[in-house]
Amino acid sequence: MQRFKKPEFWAYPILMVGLWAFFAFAMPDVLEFWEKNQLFRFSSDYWHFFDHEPFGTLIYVHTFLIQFSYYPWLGAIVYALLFTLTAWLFNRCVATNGNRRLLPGLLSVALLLPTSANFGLLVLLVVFLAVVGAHCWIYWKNRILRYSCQVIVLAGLTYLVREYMVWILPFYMCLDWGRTRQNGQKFNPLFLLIPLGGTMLAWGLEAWFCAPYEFISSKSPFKFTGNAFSPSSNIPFNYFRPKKIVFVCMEIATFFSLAGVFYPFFKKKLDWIGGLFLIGGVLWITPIQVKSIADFQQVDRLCRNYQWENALRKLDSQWEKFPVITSLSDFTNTHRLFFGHTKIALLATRKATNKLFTYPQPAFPLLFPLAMNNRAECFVLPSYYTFVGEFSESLHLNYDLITCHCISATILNATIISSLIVDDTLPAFKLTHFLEKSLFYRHQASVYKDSFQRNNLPAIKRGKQMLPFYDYAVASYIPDKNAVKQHMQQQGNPYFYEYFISLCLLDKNTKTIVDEHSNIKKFYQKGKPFFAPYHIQEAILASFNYSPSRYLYPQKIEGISSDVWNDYWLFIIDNQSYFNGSTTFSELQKKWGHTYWFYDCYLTMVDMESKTSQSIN
Amino acid sequence: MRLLSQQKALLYPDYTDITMPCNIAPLNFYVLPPYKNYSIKVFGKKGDTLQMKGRNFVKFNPQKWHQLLQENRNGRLWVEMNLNSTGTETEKLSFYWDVRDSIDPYFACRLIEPSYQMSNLLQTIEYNLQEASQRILFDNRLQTYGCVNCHTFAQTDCSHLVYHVRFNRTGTFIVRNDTILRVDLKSSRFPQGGVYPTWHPNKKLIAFGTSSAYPFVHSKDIVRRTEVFDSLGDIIVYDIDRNVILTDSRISSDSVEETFPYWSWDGKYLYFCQSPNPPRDSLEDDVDYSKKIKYNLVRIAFDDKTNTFGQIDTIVDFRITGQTASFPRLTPDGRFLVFCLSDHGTFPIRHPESDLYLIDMTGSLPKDSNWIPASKDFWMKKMEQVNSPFTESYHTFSSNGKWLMFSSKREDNLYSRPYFTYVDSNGISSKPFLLPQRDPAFYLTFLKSYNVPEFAQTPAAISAAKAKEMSLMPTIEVDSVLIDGQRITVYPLTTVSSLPQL
Repeated sequence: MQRFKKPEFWAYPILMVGLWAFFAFAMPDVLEFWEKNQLFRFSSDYWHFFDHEPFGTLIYVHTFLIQFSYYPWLGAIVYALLFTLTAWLFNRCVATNGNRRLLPGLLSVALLLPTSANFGLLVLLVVFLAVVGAHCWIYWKNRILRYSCQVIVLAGLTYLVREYMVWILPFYMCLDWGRTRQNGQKFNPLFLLIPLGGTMLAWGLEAWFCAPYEFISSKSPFKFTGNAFSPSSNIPFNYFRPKKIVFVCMEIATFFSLAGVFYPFFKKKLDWIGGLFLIGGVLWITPIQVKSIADFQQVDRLCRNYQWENALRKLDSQWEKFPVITSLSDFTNTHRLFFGHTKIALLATRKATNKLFTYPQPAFPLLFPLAMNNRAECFVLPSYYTFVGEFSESLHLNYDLITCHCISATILNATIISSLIVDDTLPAFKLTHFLEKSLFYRHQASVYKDSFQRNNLPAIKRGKQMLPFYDYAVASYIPDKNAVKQHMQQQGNPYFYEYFISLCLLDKNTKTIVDEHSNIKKFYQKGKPFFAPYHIQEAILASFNYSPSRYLYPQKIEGISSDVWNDYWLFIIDNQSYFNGSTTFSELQKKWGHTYWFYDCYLTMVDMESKTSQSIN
Repeated sequence: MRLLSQQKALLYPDYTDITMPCNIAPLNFYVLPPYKNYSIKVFGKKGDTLQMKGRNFVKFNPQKWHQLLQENRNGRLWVEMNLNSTGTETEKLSFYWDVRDSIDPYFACRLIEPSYQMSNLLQTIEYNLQEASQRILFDNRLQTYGCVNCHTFAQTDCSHLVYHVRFNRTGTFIVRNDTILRVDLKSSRFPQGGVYPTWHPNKKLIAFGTSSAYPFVHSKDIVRRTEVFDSLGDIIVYDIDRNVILTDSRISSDSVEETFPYWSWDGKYLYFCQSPNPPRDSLEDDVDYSKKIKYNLVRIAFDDKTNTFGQIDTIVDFRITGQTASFPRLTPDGRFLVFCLSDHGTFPIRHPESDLYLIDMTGSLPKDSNWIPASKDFWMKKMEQVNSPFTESYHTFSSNGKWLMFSSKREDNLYSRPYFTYVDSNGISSKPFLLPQRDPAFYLTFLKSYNVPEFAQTPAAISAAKAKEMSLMPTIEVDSVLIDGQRITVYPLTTVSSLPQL
């Protein structure tokens, strides 16, 4: 009964329950995000994917643990358990040395957790391993064994954790320092060479044996500016990487906590500065990183569940900070990520033409101008093609993505569904093999296999309705507009017409818009009188700038509202003022930047930017 | 005892009743469900018997395997298996392995994603056929994620190698023993540079195709997936010592497309594919246009003493076959020519109808009903044992001319896998077998295609680390171009844009 009264007895269970509640209720989207971007499989091939690479073993363990976040409450248990164990072991380490000043430095590492670092749980694993190693070392009595153990443990850790050694190594050195001081022994600086030697040994061995992968081994384990092991296949999402300032905060926190340990040299207690930086770093991380990941996951989930209006509402908040029109170069990484979803949601709600400039629109005439430079963009791009019925292209991308960027549950499912839609069953059957080897997606494999026979999956039924009637060439990742026009005539795929008209608008092809007038009417008319979407009306009016018909009776053109007419004449007047020099370009942009006329007149965003900068200068 | 067709479903890969080289790595395989436990006995007329028991995976001891094969060279091995699932249901299997001539111990190939749209992770590997192990020759992660392609040895001699790198640190890299060159073949006359290299046996000349490739994706024809057709296709020969490009007006004209050059092993003929430029309607979709493109397979005589071209012969005429020919490959003795025949287009690798055909160049074999006319002078035969309903495309003969390695998508119509078949003196091929791996289930989860497999007799002269060093070498521009022996002035592409406009 006595031990129940000790605070230590209750502290860790309470900590664990608190952490579980935090992860389960405050960050389920974050956990889901990490889970959807891997697919742990119980098969030797999956292990072989990692076993030949430094850092690979740890990533393997990481993906094993992260798979439990399929159910966020279960994933939260894994996080909470690992965190609590780390805290308990750490407390035992520092308590023995009588030095708790290391706390800010170590916590700074631990708090680069799922909220921030690109590998999420991986950081916690690293800390956990380091603390386990330290704990063993501290409680090992034999001195020679302990030192040799330290070399081996650190060599192993260097291989496993790579760049995180920048924090672990000082921690071990401090433990040595604290231990000698506690035992009343004189500290020998040469002793620091032991942990350093362990690290260098591993690094040297790796450089020797890992050829030709010198790009891995040539990376110093002390350089913490990027992934030591950096093939794209293992970087899930660079977008969510903390900014350098976060690392700087954490490194300063570590430094001052070490300064606290070396108190006799510094004469003053400086470890509180470390604590301040720790708090600063955490405050910096949490709002930005957590929100980005959670927002992305929420939007993605809404889109995949066809809740387009809700997705658009969510996306609106993402674009609030942006000006009406901007260039692609202005996009931050995070916003590039949301760009794809925005376009899909706009098409799905048939608002793409009407809200053409409500959201940022890059210079070139593509509705979906993301390059496939990294996994974040690849993640969205095939979904987009699938949505508009371009399964051929989506399949091509997906099959490449599977190997380039590891297999993720999301991409694998999308690939199988696309394959089944186009009756490409052999590759689909092959891919279900991967699902069967996973813990939580086995049932999905049987669903797909069942659909081979019965064709009963809604996503597949919907997709089959959108298949093109005839074969045409899809070049440069973007469907040809003529082909799209054919495509749009099919029932069940209205998105393509919206897509087609958007492309014409972005292409500044006003002639097509005018030619399409009867189709536009047919497509958008929901009652009388008929009014085309706003930007289409603008495009029709803009076309008169290049046509003799501007001198005829354009008022008789059906679908143009009087408001648009009035705006048009006002724009003509203001535009004239700009050419006369009585109005600046930025004033013109501010007033008319959201219109197709402005876009049409000022060609590309690059031109517009240069004009903007000129007018500012 | 089951029939052969039924046995196929019990083992993977299907190694039943095949002909294998005497130096091949163990043909490991696994037992398909519902069977799990097995006992196996492999025996021949000579040597010990290999006996094993186990579950699922049949993996042979390499040392005992090689010993058994060497002792039974040119003989037959018998395999007897007992399979059972739950302990009660037992199945007996029996099949044979014929052991024949040795195969070149290595081959090099590129590992690539099946859609060929990304070059995020490209590797050229060298596979050891005796040990079922591999070594990386090129890894694009070491070279800023460029694209590597068209690695080619000089008639399986690995001391002579050529390959291209595109996008980053570009160039055509030529290795001749210890001499390494990085050449830029692009010039104002041939702005596309060289592709599909082939070494002349004198190892001083390399023939290239040069063309602009137009890839597109089919919107509906998912089976064909991606189509590629060439434009501005010509054949050029690069003289390494003189740093000069040679060609002939008949193989570099604008009115005709040429591609896929291949030197005969004696160097007297240059084989390639040639297509008249079909007229194109301005509104014609690429899909419709590509269907008009059909190539003949022709050869042009070549005198390597004077570096001059001679007469052109048509080997396969598309007006007779109705199909397009590609990838001509000859046996070292020049007796057999194997090529791909597909419906249309330049690139057969995405055409499931693409099959391998064989031509008896000597015309000495008796022609039965399997032989059909290929052109006015030649007859061809479909390699029935080798072909499948899916793509068979890139192929190459071993240095002894007995083994044909080809890539096939027969498993899933998506990923190319290397297969091997024995071609006897009558041009009859054996049932092909899949490249053996140490892990029998390897192919089930391997999501890359084996691209451009090329035999090699020795390990290649480069490694990934060396390739990285080579990528930093200075580039040599081509000195001049000789067409029909006439020197024409060319400019490197980098300076063309700064030339005065006429």
